[in-house]
Amino acid sequence: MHAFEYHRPSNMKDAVALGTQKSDGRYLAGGQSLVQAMKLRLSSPSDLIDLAALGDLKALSADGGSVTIGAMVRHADVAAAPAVQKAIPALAQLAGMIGDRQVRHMGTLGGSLANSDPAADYPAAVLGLGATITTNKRKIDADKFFKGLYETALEPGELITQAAFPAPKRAAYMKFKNPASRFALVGVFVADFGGGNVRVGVTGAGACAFRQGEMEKALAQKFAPESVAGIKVKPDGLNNDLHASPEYRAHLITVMAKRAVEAALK
Amino acid sequence: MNAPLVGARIQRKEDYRFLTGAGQYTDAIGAPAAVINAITDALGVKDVPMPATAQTVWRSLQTKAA
Repeated sequence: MHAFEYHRPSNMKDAVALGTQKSDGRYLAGGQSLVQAMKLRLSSPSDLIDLAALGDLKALSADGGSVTIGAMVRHADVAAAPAVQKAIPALAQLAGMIGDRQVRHMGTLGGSLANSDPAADYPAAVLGLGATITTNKRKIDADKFFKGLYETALEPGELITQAAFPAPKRAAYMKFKNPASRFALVGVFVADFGGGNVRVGVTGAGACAFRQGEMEKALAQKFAPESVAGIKVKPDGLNNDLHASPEYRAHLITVMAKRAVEAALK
Repeated sequence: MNAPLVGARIQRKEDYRFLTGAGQYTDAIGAPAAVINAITDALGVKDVPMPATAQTVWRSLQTKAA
């Protein structure tokens, strides 16, 4: 690991000021991706701005129509929160499936979104539920947030404060795990908001999470597993690595979507 | 306490079947072959490359169907 300056601002204003001034600085949330990347010297920020002291980012609340989760809320807390379990059980389940126990107790929602790892779980829910991401400057629509491999709509120094997830009528998340890392080889989040409004978010398959329009249309007609079973996803542009070829990933999208619809109907 | 017995030498008895890998003493040698045999039997193919990951099994099925 290369040397860096460590900062621990006690309020949002100082944090953002540091994040903006330090051109090569990075915000430190749970550190489950960033610190690993630094240890491998894939990433060598000049400054780490630890957000642990920002209490505002640790709030979690739910009203009838949505669940709002602070950027520094850890995966384990989302998974265990009765408010989330009641309003969007699929989201609580997703959080409980991320990585392993250690990762879930350190990793945060904001960190996962800002990093936009192609195999992260949360992006599937953000797209699947059409969440709104709030930063220190503005509100960003889920559909405009993920731009590419580790790339988001966030500007330099911009800090995610929270994400608001609308509660669907029914939803489910299914992922095919890499047995070693438990990252999603392919994960599919399906949400039915009623009235033909269905969203399908896919993670793990492409450079970043994306929506599957063809499945959304089919499910809007009829929300049943057989609606997606026949849909063949094109492998073009999907990830190719040691674990799965684009063709296999394309196949898994259909299988996971089918399973997610089945689970949502239960 | 039978302290004097701790670490005491015992006469070693070699089992001929163990030495030659016959019978039921071969555990780890037989298991992978049995698993792969089961997979090839289930898929109706002649061979599946190891390790038989989900993707490998899926690919076998695709090739067979084609």
